[in-house]
Amino acid sequence: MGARRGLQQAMRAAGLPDEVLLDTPRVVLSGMDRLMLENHRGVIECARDVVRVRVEGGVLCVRGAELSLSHLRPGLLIVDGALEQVSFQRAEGRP
Amino acid sequence: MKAAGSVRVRVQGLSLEKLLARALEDGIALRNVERESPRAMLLNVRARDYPALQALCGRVGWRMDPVAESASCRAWRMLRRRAMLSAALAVFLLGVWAVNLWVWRVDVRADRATAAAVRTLLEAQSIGVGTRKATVPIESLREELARTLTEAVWVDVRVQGVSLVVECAPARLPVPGEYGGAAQDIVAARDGVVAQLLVYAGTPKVRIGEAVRRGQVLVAGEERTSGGEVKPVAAHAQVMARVWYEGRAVLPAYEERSEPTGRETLVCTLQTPWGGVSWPERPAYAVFDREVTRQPVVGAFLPVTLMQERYVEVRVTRTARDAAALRAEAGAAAEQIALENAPFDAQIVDKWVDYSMIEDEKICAAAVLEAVESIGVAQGADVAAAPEMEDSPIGR
Repeated sequence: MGARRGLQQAMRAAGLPDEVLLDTPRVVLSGMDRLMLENHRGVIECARDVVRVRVEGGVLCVRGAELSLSHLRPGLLIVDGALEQVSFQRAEGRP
Repeated sequence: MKAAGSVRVRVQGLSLEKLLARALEDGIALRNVERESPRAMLLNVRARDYPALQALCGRVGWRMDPVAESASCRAWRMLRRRAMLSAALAVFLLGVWAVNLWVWRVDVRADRATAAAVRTLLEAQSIGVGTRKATVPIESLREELARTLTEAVWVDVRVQGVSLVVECAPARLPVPGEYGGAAQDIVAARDGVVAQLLVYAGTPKVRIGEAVRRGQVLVAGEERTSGGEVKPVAAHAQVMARVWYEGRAVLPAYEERSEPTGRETLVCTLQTPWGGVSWPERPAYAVFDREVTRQPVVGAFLPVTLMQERYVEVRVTRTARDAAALRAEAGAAAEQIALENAPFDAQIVDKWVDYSMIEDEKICAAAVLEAVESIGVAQGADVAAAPEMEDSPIGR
């Protein structure tokens, strides 16, 4: 963990993006109806009112209405619908 | 195997999230994933990944049913079934592309002499129908044409589709058709006073301010050369003159009204093809209004008609009309008639109206419109007679 944090700090100091080498999740929210997630590790739950996705370090939870996955491929996921809440649940033991 | 487009499928079973995870592991991209129910999910998969997804569902036990296909997927399937159609389509497109590589038409846009020179030069360089477009030297051809054609001030060469277009602008303006040919005079189409005289060809015979009559020669079809000879030309000139249009309106100065006196008589007449019978006798009213109605008797099969005439005795009273209103109405009517006599594009520069009484019973308004218009026409053209002053239909 210490090595990872050190690498992350070094990359940020060099101006390099984390998600490219460290597979950190990257969330881009467009308005209130589209969420793009890069570097995900699989869908845990997919329903009309909630989508939970496993990411590095925890689980990303998206709540709303009429949710759908407009794009789903390795490394990239796009959630469309009336988004109401986006939350991140850290895995136990991760700071 | 479906190679193009996408397919929308319905997957039914338990733990469908595992399907998503397994599909990602196998590298199958999914789109528009929607949860239909706890045990059903709709998703789009590419046509080429469909077999892999179908095999995945078969291994685990999910049921997968296709719901819809994209248009490109259906088109691809149709083309695969009709291989000859695909081949023919490909050959056709190839043929169209190949045909477009050659020049199939040479379009020379210039006057006759210049066009002949252009075609001669093109033939000398073996450029024409059947020449490959890529081998046509556009720039050098343009330069050579500009150098060779002394009668053209501007030359353009371009390939437009399958046509080779050569366009030349002449160095001098074309002479209008009426300039050439036999001698011809310009005569006046109507009476007027010359206001403007522009002579392009010929010898003017009138001056500005001179009154001319219809048919009078305005510009003669002859010109004197520097050697003193007189050569015949087709006269060409623009002659503007002041012309006048008249209109007259006559209106009654009194207004007649008829009022019923109260006496009326109904006369019935039974008409047959062999004669008729009337009852009672027709009244001897001095002034009356008459209303006639006809109706068949029995029906259309019997030629017998009942005609009813209603005679209403009336009394005629005359009242004098307002003088100012009468003058205004007569003047407007006279102006309208004068305007109808003028051409639609006449430039009216002045107008006036004269009034007179006729035996104290009628008012007469005479309107005159002065306009400026072109009166010169080539001799032999149809010189229409000037419109005469007409009485207004009002008051007849």
